[in-house]
Amino acid sequence: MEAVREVVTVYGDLIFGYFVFVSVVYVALVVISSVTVAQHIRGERYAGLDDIFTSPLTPGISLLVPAYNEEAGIVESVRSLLNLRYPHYEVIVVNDGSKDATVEVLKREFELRRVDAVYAPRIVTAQVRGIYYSPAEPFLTVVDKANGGRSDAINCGINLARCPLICTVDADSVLEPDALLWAVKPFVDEPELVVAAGGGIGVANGVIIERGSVTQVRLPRSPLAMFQVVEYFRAFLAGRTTWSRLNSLMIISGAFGIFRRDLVLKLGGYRLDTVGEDAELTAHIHQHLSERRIPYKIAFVSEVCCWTEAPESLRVLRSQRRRWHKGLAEFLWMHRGLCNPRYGAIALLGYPYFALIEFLGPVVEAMGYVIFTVSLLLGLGNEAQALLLLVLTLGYGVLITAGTLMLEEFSYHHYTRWNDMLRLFLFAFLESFGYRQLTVLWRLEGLLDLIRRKKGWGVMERKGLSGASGGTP
Amino acid sequence: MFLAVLADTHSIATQTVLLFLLLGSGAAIVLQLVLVTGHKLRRDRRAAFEAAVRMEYTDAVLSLLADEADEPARRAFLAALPANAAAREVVAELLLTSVAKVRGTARDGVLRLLDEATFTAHYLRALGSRSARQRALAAEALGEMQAEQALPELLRALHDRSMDVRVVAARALGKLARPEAVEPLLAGFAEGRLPSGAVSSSILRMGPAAGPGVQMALADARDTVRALAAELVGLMGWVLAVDELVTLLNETYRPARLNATRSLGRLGADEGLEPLLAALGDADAEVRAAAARALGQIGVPSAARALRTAMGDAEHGVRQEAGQALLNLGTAGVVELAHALRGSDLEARRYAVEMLQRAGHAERMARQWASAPRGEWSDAVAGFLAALARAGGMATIEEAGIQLDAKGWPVRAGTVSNVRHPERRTRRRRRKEAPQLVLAGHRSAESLPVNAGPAVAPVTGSLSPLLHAFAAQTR
Repeated sequence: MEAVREVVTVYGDLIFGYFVFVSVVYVALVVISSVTVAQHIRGERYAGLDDIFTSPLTPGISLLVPAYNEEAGIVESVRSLLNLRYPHYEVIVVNDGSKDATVEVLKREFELRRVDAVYAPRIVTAQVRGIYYSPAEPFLTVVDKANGGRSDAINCGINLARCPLICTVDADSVLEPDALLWAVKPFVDEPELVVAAGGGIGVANGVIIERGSVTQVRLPRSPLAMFQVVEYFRAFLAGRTTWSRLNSLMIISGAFGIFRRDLVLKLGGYRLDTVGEDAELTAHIHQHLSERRIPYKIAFVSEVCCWTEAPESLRVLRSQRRRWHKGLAEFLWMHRGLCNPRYGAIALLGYPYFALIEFLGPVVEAMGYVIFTVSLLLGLGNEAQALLLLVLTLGYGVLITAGTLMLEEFSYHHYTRWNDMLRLFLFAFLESFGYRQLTVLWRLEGLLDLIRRKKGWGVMERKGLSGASGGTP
Repeated sequence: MFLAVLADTHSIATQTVLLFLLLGSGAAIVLQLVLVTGHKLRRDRRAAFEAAVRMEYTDAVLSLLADEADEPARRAFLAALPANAAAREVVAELLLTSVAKVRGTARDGVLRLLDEATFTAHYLRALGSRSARQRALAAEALGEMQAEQALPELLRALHDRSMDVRVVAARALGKLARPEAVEPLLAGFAEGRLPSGAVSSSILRMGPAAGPGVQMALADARDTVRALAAELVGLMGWVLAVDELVTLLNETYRPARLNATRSLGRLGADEGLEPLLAALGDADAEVRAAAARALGQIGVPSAARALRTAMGDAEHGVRQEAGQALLNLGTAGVVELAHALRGSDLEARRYAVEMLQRAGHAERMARQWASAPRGEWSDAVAGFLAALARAGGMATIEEAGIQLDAKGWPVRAGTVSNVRHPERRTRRRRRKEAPQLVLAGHRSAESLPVNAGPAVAPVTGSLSPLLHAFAAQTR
């Protein structure tokens, strides 16, 4: 009994130390992002967005849209993508061996003609079955290829892209009409330095969408989606804004990100052997350029560029979170070489954050819950300490999330109604009681998946693209 | 209750930290709620205030813009300006946004008004403000007003300690369009004070005023400045710089060479032709691709042969650009693409197929085949389709439902057994008849069913060059 008590106490102290560390980091994240966003907002009046539209310097963008069984919404998505406000871009839809009539629907709607276009696979992909152009829409290309997964579909699009920049977009998400203008600004400002840029992502559930564009921002009704709204704010507004400011942004979400095409080609595109391909690519860029001592910047645009559907069922959400955590572990392992202090901020801040907090967090937190339960059950006498720790952890979670919401209220102010603001705060509070524990559990499951299938790492995952594949926030 | 909990923990230090954290986080959450509520209230009030001021002055500003306002009306407007600084700012903003939308006398009127209302002086003062935001806003406003008198201050602002202010000052200088600003802007870029994007867009906005300055910079000692200038002269259409650009093509610094190549295309000057043809053999693939594109932009038919050769380049990007450029050359390019279909170069054949299909030529030819009365030109159509199919362009053949015989020649539906090889047929006829392209319905001895078509062959303008190419081959 005494030994158990001893172990529990030591563990408790360890967890407490970890908790203090995490809290400090989170507070720092919120503070730095507040400063960054504030500067950005204050400068909005002289940001010169119109210049980007008219400037001949604005680089062309190839929008790559992987589609798997999207016959229901694909036409509307493509129409809205063809109507973005941007001077020069093309849309490449890659049908990843859909089992439904995705290609047929597109063929009919856009009067596509099959063309024997030269497919020069600088990145090897699954077999291309046909390439289509539309006489009516000269900037639309549709590729029909055998199923190979999301990464494979994007790689195929990269092979066919003609513009200097590529932008990955999910077929089931909706872009803001100005999204490309916002997101290209870093490339226009510093063309020599910027190699990639991510954009803010919002939860589309509840948002009113008419003819493929967002007309009114509302909160979702489903509580599960509400929790994710809160989570997205924390991840994007507080997290990524800060990381890009420190030039160590490790993840650009697959739902919306812009990359230099030549660089992605050089790196061999998206990897097929990981479920976190978008994060993997970003880390790969960091490692490639850091190793070669080439100065670069990976930017993040904190405006919401893209609205994506969040899963509203526990089952889908669970598989999404499992996959995200597995992907996180995979890319951290693949790019452990980034942990070289000579590489600067990415090695000293970005990588350790993802390894120690994002990756290890659920493990430590789960351990905390176990110890709490054990001490209660065995009556070890330090229930008080454990309880206090629990209250503090949860309290701090609320604090950080509320801080992010405050930031959103002060800056972009998407949710204008009082009612919405109150609901956001309410869910920031409720998140700590149940939802958070669920995500911890799912992420641990992701780790278990990884351990169980350790030998099968090289095996390609064939997964669907719809619904759950939004991208890691 | 919490105090009791705290007392149980095992050290004083931990207790203190815990207590501190607990109270701190509780207080912070309450504070956040208060802040957000307050901010929301303030934001709503501010928005209502601005809307009210706008409402009040919009009509007056509109009538000023409509050029209806005479001197008394202007006086009245000036007299009616609010005394309140915040409200004045809203009015100034209203005037500034309207300045950007009008030209001519209306614009001059508003600018004079801004001057008389001491807004100009106010912004000049604000350029020296301690707040970076105020300085940036002032620079933006002065640029919007094209306030010539602000030139020295704006040039000085290129050295401001805030990057935001420097960038806005650069943009404002672009709006002023004074040639004196070109050199300081380029220097700002070279010294790393300004990102290239800010400098480029500023200089481009100046238009021809910046021309001589940028042309000078083509011979600058700094590599990066030369490269940037090479790009800019093309974008601004400064044709006087062609000679300098041609010289830059021999440069070893790659970005300068690349940008000069691009610019020669954008300028479309014939003098660029020979050097660009030479650049198709550059060691760098990107330069070769840019040269191919530039030749397409210049659009001189004599580049066609070289571009056809470039369709067999080792790099995909070059081949693609060369094919696209051939399409841009018009007739000469299309003919060259047609020849490439039967050329010995496999790569060039594949790209020729893609280009002819994408431009719609292949599809139109296939349609011709279906509806055409026969004649010698229809042999040319057949020859084209056969060559297309052989070069890999089966998509068009299949989509149009055209049958091919064992030798890969198109046949009319239901007559496969009857058909004789069109090429052989043509050869035989050639011996007998005058070697001449006949575009009208030409009856042959064969009894193939003929789709009812117009008496004169419907060969459209865009197709005739293709047919010529194939008629010449089969003749």
